[in-house]
Amino acid sequence: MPRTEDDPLGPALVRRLRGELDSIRPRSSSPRYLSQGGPVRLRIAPAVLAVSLVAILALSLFAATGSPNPVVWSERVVTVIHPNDANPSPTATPEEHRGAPAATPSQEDNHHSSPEPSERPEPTEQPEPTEQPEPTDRPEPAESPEPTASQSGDGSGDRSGSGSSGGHDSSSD
Amino acid sequence: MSADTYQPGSKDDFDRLYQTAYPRVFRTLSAILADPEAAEDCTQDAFVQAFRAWPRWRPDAPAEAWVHRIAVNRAISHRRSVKLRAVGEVLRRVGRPAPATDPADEATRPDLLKALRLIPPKLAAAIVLRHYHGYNNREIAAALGVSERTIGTRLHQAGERLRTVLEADFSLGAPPAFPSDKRESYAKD
Repeated sequence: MPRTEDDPLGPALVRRLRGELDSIRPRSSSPRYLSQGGPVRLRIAPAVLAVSLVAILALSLFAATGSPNPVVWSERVVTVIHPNDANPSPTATPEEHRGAPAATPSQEDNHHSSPEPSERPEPTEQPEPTEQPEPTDRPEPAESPEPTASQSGDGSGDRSGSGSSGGHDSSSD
Repeated sequence: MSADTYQPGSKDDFDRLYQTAYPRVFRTLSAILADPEAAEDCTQDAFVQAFRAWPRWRPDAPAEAWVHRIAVNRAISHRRSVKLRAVGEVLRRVGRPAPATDPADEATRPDLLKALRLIPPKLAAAIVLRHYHGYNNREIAAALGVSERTIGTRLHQAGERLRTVLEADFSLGAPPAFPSDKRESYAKD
């Protein structure tokens, strides 16, 4: 069998190879790639969409709270609600306002904390005038019984004594 | 090979590529695997993989050679897994008689394809791409992702090993039992 450097098989073996491979007929099967769906980017599109939505939500919460810690994102809502419950004590609110500007001075501008102290002095000023009349009213009846007790004693003594003293006097006399 | 007529990502072009290249890729894998069912399965898998990567295909390489590269790699993986399974089967059947092969299957399987099955798949792929599809060494090198020198070495080794196998089992001088060759325009490199 003649062989060359470029054709190590030889012509007879090459003919056999071609003939045997030509005799093979592929079955007419449907393309499998049509049933596999689209390209990869179409199959992972829902996952990419979900991840992007979570990322946008996390970025918006980070921008709103200024903290990358997810625990802080939920705690900020609680701290916003909590100062409204602590309003009735007038002495606590000034302390909180003194501590808050030292901790986060930049957040005061964002959260408009300036209207809050203006609202809080108003209720603190309102109890003060209500408290002032009360002590003024109370001493008067407190003081009045004492002198009235003496006066009433005198008076009652005058009234009762007018009768009784007169009786004593009259009896003594 | 009309590489310039395909557009990457075009489904119509990929359908056309499938219609053109599927029989040729199937015959290549039939030569490497010597099993029509496995060849069909690997060919379909190769086209599925090629379809997923079709938007990234670059027209500077022939599309059919690109699919051949995917298919040959798929066939090599298949043969590797079959060999591992065969080793496990041998270990499992130690001490028992070997299972009898199907005589009908042995009779219908062409001799040369059986010989190709006995040499490494990379060498068999080089033989088929060179002597059946008519690729030159540069096209084979581009298809398999190796250098032209490597392809020349593989073709030489494949010829030697194939002849050794055929001389051991068959008579090389026997006349070919197939119809007359119709591919007279086979382009030699």
